[in-house]
Amino acid sequence: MTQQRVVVRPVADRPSVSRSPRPRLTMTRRQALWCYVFIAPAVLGLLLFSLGPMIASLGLSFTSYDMLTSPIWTGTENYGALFADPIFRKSLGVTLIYGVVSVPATLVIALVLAILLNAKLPGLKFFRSAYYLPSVISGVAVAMVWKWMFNGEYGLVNAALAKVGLQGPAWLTDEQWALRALIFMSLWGFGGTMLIYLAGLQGVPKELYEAARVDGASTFRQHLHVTVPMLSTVTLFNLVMGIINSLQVFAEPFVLTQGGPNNSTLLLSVYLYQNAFEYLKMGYASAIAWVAFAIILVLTLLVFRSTPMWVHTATEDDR
Amino acid sequence: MSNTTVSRRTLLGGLTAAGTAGLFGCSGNGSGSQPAPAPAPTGTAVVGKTNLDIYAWTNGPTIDANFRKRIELFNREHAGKFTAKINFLPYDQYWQKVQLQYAARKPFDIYYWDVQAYAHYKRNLVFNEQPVIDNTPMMDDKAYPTKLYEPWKFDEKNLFCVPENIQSMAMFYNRSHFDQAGLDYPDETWTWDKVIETAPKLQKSAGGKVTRWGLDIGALGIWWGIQALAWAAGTAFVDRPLEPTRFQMTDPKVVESMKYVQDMMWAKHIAPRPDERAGIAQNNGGFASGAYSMIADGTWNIASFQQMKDEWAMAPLPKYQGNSIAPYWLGGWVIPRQSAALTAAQTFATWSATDFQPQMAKDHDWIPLQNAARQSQDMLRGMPEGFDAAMKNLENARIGDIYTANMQQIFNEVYGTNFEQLLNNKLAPQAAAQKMQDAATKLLG
Repeated sequence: MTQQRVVVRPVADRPSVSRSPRPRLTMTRRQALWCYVFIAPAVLGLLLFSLGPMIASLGLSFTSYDMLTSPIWTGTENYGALFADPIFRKSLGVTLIYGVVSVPATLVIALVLAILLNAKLPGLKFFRSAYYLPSVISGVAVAMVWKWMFNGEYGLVNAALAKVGLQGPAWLTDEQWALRALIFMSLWGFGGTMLIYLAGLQGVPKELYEAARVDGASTFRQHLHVTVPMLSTVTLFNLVMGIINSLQVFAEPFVLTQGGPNNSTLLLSVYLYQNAFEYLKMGYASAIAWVAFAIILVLTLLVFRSTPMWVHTATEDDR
Repeated sequence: MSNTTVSRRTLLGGLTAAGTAGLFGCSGNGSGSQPAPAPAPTGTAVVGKTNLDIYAWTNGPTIDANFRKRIELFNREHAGKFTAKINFLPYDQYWQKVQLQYAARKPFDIYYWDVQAYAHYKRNLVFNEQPVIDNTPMMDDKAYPTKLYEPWKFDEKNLFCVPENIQSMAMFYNRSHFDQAGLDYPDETWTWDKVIETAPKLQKSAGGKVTRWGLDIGALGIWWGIQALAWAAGTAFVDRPLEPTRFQMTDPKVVESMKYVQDMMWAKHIAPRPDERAGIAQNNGGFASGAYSMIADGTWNIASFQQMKDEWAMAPLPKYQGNSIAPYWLGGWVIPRQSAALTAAQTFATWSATDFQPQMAKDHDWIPLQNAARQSQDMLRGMPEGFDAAMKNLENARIGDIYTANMQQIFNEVYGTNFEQLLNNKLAPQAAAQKMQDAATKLLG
């Protein structure tokens, strides 16, 4: 029998020996565990920075809260005051007009340009980038540029109109034109919507266009009867996002007009901001936020309810 | 491991309950009658930290640079005791930050006053600084214009922030334009009628467009500017500036003042209309660029006008119906009761209002509160002609603020909107006055 060399290793180096075997996680459980680990930051972020403040704001909407002192429970007083507030009603009207005009207009422009940019023509990459560029620029920077462009005396818009013999209005200081100017400006940011349409266009089967052509359809009819229905799910997404965004737009009216003249551009988010941070009425502002949320919810539900009438869902039969 | 699962409904219900419980937990004695603010400690012991964070809004490169120099001087003079640092915020973010700091129960150590801080006094968040001020020469009638403090005594006895400078309103004029036109300069004898008569003589046009206006209404387009005319006519927008009990917008003298300003732009068109003003302001900056020959404006513009190429000067606000009553404002420091550097903050505020005043006079940015500094050669040297006369007019001046609970809403929703309509000629003066009277009275309640 050979003598074995005994090496004494420090305790820390010794391999741990489990006396009783640890229960091993099944593959499914291990996957579930890792899944929770990976989604934890997002879930925590959602709970802490979105859901938590949302619930807090819901609670605050039933209080009188000035941020300087503790909130005081007032029940539904804020909501009652809201519907009796003529400025809130005006703000709601302005927001709805803004949404009703800007959302469909953006969708149409984005779709038309996406179709044009989907063609195989030289220089397309440049145009795709150029059209998308405004979407990645900060809203405040965009608003500052447009403030100059809309200047009644020295702005580019009126200078261009003057070239064709038209006298442009005082875009941002005239009550009749200020909201139109904001809507016009909003169309400039169609890039994001266009990009989604462009992605959607890649998935439209070419055979459908060929079949339409065989049937004698013009280019316009091909798009009307093939592109539009085939992109209806994309349109649904863009429409819902557009509705949500139109009720939340803030930077542009805040920088350009601060809600004026005569509250003609007082979009809900600007009125909310004024109440929260200028008038110290955080409870009231929270109520405005929840009314806006309810409007978004109702409009979104209405859009979803209407989908059987206009959204084409691809089935096996289609293929 | 149990298989207990939490349904979405239960989760949302739990979160809602937790949120509501939290809300109730923090609710309590938010408003209603507050106890009288306690006086700030005045002993020799240092209360709070010795490194002080000062907050002010940015006022442009000249004034901001002088503020930084002031902090350096304070740090040198208080070496080993206190260290101060100044933080600037844009004005449109400043008050939001101040309120949010209060909401977080961590207010700034000390911050610069504006009318919004009255809400902080109303909610018992600031100390009564009178005992601190009493330990300085600031209450000496001969050394300081103590009469001007009166509107800031919110409880009619004590000061709740530490004043250090004064601002007012005056007529600024471009001397070069007057010289070219061979006209006499404005002085304390001038009336608004004379201004209106002179303005067209200074106006220049090219290609059917006015390239230089003889007058811009300037601060007459702001509620307190128009109120200065109403004061001169013997009335005011409110019965008293501190906690007014009624608005007087429909007083015929107030309506007349409003019409007077509106006519300058519309009936007479001797001053640019709002859209013309917006264009000029955006294109070349107005008076400082020589686009206007005269402008009624705040004295805080002196520092920026100093950069002008043209020669310029100032005169007291022209007389209206025989009187010239300018608004004035006090600038100063607010120290929260929860300031983390109380003694350092008090030291900085009182030092700014006393020892620093001669340097403030030399800096030519703010107008010192201390009489000797304000009237010193250092102050007058380099200041425009007419500055001294405009300062003498302070004897008749009245506070250019209104202190009441919903004042920001009144300024913005009521005054802002309706004066804008008035100046755009969309509302007749009487109609504007009635709308403002009704809306402001509602908010006063």
